Amino acid sequence: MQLVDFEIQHNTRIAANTYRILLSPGSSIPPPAPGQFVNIQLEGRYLRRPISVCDWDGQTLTLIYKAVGEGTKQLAGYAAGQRLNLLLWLGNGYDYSRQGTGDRRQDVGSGQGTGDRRQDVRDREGELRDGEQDSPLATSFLPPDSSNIPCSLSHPTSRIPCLLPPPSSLLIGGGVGVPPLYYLAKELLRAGRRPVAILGFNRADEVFYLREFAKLCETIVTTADGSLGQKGFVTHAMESVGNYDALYACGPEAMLKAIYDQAAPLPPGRAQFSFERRMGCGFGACMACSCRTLAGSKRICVDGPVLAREEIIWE
Amino acid sequence: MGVSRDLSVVLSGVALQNPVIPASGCFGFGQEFRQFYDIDMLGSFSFKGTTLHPRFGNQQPRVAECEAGMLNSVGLQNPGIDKVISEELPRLRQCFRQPLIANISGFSVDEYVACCAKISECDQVGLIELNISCPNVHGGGMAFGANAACAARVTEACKRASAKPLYVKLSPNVADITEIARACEAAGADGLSLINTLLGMRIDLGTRRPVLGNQMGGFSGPAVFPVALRMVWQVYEAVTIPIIGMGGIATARDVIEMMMAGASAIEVGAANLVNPCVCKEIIEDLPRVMDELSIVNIREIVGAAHG
Repeated sequence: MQLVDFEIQHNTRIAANTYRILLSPGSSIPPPAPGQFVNIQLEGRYLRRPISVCDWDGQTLTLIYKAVGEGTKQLAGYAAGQRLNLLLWLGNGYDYSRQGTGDRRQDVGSGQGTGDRRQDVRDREGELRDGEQDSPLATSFLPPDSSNIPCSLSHPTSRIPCLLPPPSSLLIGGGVGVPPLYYLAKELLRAGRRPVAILGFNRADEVFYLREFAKLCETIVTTADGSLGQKGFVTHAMESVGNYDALYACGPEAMLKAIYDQAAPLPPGRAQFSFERRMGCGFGACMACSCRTLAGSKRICVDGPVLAREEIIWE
Repeated sequence: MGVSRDLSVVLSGVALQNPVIPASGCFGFGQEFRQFYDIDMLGSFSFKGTTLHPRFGNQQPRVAECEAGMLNSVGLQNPGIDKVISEELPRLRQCFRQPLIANISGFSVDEYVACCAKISECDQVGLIELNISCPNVHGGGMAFGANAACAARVTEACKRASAKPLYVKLSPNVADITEIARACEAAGADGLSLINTLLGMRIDLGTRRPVLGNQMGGFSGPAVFPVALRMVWQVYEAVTIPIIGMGGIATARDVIEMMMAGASAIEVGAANLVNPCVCKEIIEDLPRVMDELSIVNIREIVGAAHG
């Protein structure tokens, strides 16, 4: 955990009231784990603003945020060249280790050199495209019929043709909960998994990163009013996705609860939910963000924001 | 650069290498700050307000932003005195060798007394800081520190139970803080620390409800500095025991100003939340500021503004 100065490279609106900011650090930093966040100092605002990591490629940090409060509205007005001080990398992140070590940062690229991981990601994307065009879902937003997808396409590391694709890792994001799942999708691909993304929004003008996700994996989009993709909620789309052995969710608490109720029973630790709480320090010192869990009191900023299904107490 | 100045201070016989002390509630038990700097460079720190029994704390949300400050209604979440003594203090022994300030909170005189007795056994503790801004469950929920008689009663009982110097942390939410201060001094307090947070609140315009789950909370940050300074000034004129001053301090210049008002040492609270390195930066900057102001050793300016 450290304080690092960044410079804004781009800061642009990508959907209704939704902004994407690219930042480059003033010094060399290790990579984050997917699901971690940063705490941004804004001039004239007392508390820092916690925002999830959307992407990190070794050189550039991508954050996506909604301008809903005084701080984020101010952030939306900043231009390229502006310097910001960030506290990073905060939180526990998602655990996709499968070894149950409990250390969610171990699977992240070793961070040797800033160029390596970007190259890795390009190789991975290239491999997916070899021999076939993008997955049919890059251009269509219909629910996947996963039995149609040949095994070699959906799971590039498999060598033996099989009747069913291997289980997927289901990523479910709602609105501003979508961004951290993007970096998670990339890291899951690096780990040889098969992510499937369900992205839920209210309306078409709020939708973002559809194309970006579709380049990585099967992607389903839902809008509550049906103006784009499937009409309804992510829970409706979940019904058509079979055979997942891990679930990673992020979004409004009502959405998380609905997913929690509906998700297929998974072994302990395989269904993970990222929560939000108003924070003070963001690094575990002030106890502002505590929540009760079945594993005792947890600080969302450091013992979270990701909680496993088994420990969640809904208030 | 490399200007060095004597920063050492003494509080009731307890020698500190410098007057910079993170305030209770803003520093946990020190562990979260170790990744930012060597906390052993601090004069001391006041650990999280500890009660007889473990507490989860208040309903969410527990913080709200304000202009130049923040509200908190954390509600004294802490693992309880026994766990602090059996787990947190031993953990600290490896990385922190300065005298500790044990912040003790309670909801009845008996609870305060029990905690003071237990913590007095701990050699790592230099001072006890009695947080009397807690509501007295036997007094209709009114804060101990809200009136002089209650403040005196809890001070006297705890002084008898304490083997360490007892500093009483005063609430600013009173009409006349000097009355409370004098009552605590007369009841045997070895020193005073002030101010605790100012009572405040915010309302969410969208939901039309208070922002904090507890409705009201403690206001801290730079905005309270002039109020805290004024109260330290007033208390310095009213008592002869040493004062630890706090409230909105964020820079070395704030430290000097608070000491000139009458503080023998200071605490830095909310600033730690927004800049975890703030206390390190203050300690490193103090010699330069003292040099600018022709201050040779920091003890000489305590109360200097009183002429």
